[in-house]
Amino acid sequence: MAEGMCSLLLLHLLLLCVVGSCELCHAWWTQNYCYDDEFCPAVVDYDTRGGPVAGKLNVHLVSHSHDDVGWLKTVDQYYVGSNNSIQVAAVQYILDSVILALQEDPNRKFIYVEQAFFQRWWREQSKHKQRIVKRLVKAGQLEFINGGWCMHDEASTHYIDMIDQTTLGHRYIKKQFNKVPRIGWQIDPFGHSAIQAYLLGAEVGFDAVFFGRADYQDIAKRRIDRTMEFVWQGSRTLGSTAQILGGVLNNLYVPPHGFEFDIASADPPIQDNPLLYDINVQERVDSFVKLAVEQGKEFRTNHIMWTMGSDFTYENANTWFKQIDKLIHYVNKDGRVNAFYSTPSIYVDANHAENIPWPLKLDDFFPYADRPHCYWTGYFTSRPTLKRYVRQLSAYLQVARQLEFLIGKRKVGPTTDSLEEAMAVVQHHDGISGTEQQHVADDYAKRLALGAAEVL
Amino acid sequence: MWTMGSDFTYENANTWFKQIDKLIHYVNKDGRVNAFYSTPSIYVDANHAENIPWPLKLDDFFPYADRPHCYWTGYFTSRPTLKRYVRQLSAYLQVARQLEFLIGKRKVGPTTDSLEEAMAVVQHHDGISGTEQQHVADDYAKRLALGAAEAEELVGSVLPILLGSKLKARYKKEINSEMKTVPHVGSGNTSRSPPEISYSPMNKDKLLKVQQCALLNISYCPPTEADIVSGKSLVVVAYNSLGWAREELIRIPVTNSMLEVKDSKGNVIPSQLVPLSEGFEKVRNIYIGDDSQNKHLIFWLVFYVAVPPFGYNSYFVTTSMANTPNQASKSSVEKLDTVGDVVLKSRDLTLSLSKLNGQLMHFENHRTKTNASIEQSYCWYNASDGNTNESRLQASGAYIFRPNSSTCFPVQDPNNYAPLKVIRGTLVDEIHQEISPWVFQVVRLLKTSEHVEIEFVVGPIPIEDDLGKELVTKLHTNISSVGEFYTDSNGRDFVKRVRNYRSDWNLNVTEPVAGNYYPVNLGIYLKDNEKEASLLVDRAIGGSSLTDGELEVMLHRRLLHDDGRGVAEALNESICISNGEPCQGLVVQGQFFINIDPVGNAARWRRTQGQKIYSPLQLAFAMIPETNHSTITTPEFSSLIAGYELPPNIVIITLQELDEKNLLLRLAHIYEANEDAELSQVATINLENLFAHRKIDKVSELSLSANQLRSKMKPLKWKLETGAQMVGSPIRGAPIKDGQFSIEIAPMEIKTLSIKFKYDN
Repeated sequence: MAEGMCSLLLLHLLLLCVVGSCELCHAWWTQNYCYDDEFCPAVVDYDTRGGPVAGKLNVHLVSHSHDDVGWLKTVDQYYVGSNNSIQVAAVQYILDSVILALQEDPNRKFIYVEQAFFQRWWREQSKHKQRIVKRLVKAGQLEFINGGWCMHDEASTHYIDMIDQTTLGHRYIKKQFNKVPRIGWQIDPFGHSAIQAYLLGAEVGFDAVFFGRADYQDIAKRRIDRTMEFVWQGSRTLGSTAQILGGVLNNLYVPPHGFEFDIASADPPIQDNPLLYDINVQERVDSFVKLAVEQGKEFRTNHIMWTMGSDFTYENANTWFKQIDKLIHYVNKDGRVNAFYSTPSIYVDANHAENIPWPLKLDDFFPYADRPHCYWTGYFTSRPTLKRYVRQLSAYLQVARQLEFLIGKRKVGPTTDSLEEAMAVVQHHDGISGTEQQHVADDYAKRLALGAAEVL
Repeated sequence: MWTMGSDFTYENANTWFKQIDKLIHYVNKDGRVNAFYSTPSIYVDANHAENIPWPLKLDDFFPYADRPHCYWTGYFTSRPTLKRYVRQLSAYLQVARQLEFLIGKRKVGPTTDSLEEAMAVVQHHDGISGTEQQHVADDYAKRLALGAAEAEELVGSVLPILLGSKLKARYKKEINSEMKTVPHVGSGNTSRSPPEISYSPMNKDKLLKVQQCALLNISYCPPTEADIVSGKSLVVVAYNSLGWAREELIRIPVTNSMLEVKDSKGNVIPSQLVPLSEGFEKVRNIYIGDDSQNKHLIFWLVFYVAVPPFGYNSYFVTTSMANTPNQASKSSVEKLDTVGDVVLKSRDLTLSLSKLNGQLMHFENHRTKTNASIEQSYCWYNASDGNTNESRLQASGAYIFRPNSSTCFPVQDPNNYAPLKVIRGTLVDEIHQEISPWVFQVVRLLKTSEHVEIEFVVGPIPIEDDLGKELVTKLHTNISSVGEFYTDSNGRDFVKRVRNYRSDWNLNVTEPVAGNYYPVNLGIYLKDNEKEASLLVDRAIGGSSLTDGELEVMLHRRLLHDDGRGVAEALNESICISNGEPCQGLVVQGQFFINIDPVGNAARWRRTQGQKIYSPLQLAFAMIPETNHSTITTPEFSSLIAGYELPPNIVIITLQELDEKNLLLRLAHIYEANEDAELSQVATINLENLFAHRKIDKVSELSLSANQLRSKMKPLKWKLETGAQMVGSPIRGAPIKDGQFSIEIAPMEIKTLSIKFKYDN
């Protein structure tokens, strides 16, 4: 009903605009209806529908939150939101608010990655909430990407541990949602291994793997050559039978400059309310289009991906979605480029449908330098005792599992589950890598020790 | 009650509610205390239900200190020009609302809504307080300016209609065609209120085009500064928003020196040309640019206007023949710099000033037989930079006033006084003084006046010595005030203040100056058994009495450090007029008014004069042919019935058309109990007297914020602790009776009324 009335009023407004000046019709509009919110010129029904459009540059807006499974705070501190004096981050609220925001508009999409956090949250949810989440997953609004327990490190991890931690996450996703993640999402690790491409990518069944960090010189060249995305054959032995589409993300894993909308962001939100000062819709759209066109020149197809998120963002998902809604609405109204809510899977499918040839990449992406003189090669050795502890327990876990199998897994009493989970947590790229704070390293060791104690 | 929130919290409400949910769950499970989601209303109801006695509190909670040496008394004066701008527009909003009502609020075209909203925004406690960042102060000013521009457009469109009307006390519905410039679409309600003033339909371009001058305060007014050529007549319309008839001296800048002024009946009235003071030239040059080479010399043309209540009157300025007796008289100008006294005289007042430094020395009112020695001076406190032993790092800032000692440094160089300029004339005498290169003042005595008017131009406050400065003016008298003085509460009640004392606790004096500062909106006064010395202000400022017989008010402050209370900027206001030119410290122009009265007589001056300061006559101007006045058929007008004015203790504080056929009227009694022997009495007003051009249908009395019937207000009653006694026995005006239009208003009461009018169809 409201919609009908709205269009009737719009008609009147239009009429007024034809016969009188626009200032006049605005004054009339404001004076007559602005105290009833419904009729304010500030009320805009944002059109957030859309998908790829042929012949246009398609900007895939991928909403995500990069949630470290331990780094400056411990994994549980990150989940709960304690110790905020070190870093303001609380994953429980991220998932709370993302779920609410997705319910508000079926066009909104979000990807979630770290199962260590998702499972912590899932276990706290009511059956009712779980049903809502299942519906969102089924509808494709919430998609699990990567899907391991953590986003594992790729330099100091053993492939068996990588497989284990990925399996742990994937098993839960399969069990709870009957879903199989399709895309590798190693957006933050500091260098990328051949194993990641062919084993933890192709052999897992992923269609692509994306990452944010590659050597700055490499990236500079790839931009010129348009080789940011490539077919990656990590194994000389398995060659093309274990290949995967690899992709370096355009801007690490954060949005292009000026389009970060987290709660404390300094970037300008879209101000489209004619009753307030400083309207900036045109400037924001121009800036969006300019950045998209620039990026489009460095990629091979008419599809580009914007990673709309960063570390522990979306604690208040509304600040993002409200702005992305407006961006989609105004950018598409402008028409120069086409923007829509997307996920890496949709992006990969769209790229695949273009059926174009891709360059080949062999081997790996080590070592990583982000600028001259800055090689991230220290962490190969950082915290050598933690690295040894993990390696030792890796073998021990296999032993314990074998024994558990021999006797049959018990419903009560000690199991290998705790150690399995602790091992999965510590594979994180700020875990075994040694790049976490001391108190976090202590926490990892404690988790391992407790898991190991149960297994003893 | 636990307040579960803080500044701008709940942007992500979930973080709060999820945790409070858990707190309530686990605390109540524990059971030692009981916790639940509540609101202040629920809390108050619960407290009320306890039916216990409560302690009594009188007066107010000023000044505020959050720790030793940290008095939040600086903000009483911070951003004095914003404070003045708000005060000025407050009065202007009332004027615009009155005119809007007279013609009927229009669906299209300018309204008072923007100014109302801008004024509402700036009342914020980090707005008019001056404790916002500079860019935010700029935004407030911008909002005010845009709202004022729209209100000005409204006033400018209504006055010509009234001036060109043939006003009669008619109630006939006459929709005027000029106002319907745009088809009225969409509301579905075609019956709109008729214009209440009927006037002969005339072509819109036959209406007068009036201009107003928002910058009159700095003597800038293009329509009056235009050359008044022979055959043309400058119309000056003075609008009076008060319910009292007023006879007041107005001043407009002119460039012609051969002028005469006629009233609306064509009689020539006395007028005088007064030269601009150096201070005015300075502030005018800053904002308008130095126009001395291409313009004639600018004078103030001053003359008395008599304006009926809640209405206007028109005056006509034309060129005159040389040396006719009716011509605006020139003032005599005398430069003095020798020792001795200068004497200024009005009908009843004799003022003596020192020729040497221009300071007032003696005040004598012959009518009231009041004699007092009096001295007025300027000095500055050195703002603390926080480099102190006690309360280290506490600097003076936007909120906090912290002088680094109690010494107030004189502004005037004792060895180098600039010569005084004594201006004498038929209507007004003035003393122009340059007290220092950054403090100018005019001491003004009107021939009919019994008080002293002082106009100041201060700034830029010099900071080359890296010292923040807080400028005050002190008024020293020989009145023995024994530590007591009075300051107003938001321009209304006066509250007794006692130096270095608080009635609610034993005060530990850490800041002998800042800790005795109080907010002043209307005025500050002190008294002994014989006399009262009062100082009235034109904006919100801080003031005190630090020694017996002495009043001081802070006029301007320029500070170099932040005071650590959140604003994170030093209050160092500067103005940047044009690109490329260096910015300079803010210059403040303003007025204050001084009077000394016998005890018991002073309230009448404070209340009456205070109201006039708040609601100055609003001036509008037009240039018309001298002989053809066809655009002005009603040069004088009052909305009240002929000959009526409100009693001296009653003022209209709101007159606003809320919606069709519905008027919001607030009448205020401006005296406290026992403040004046005669006027602190219940007044009775017949509302029909206020609306000569309409008939009242219905009157209802509302709560102050006009959202409920007064009779429906049922505030909770609270018991007092034994021993706690309310002073006096309050008197209230009787509630308005059904079908009656006469209302009783008791001292300090504000009656809020909704009035519906009758319309003939």
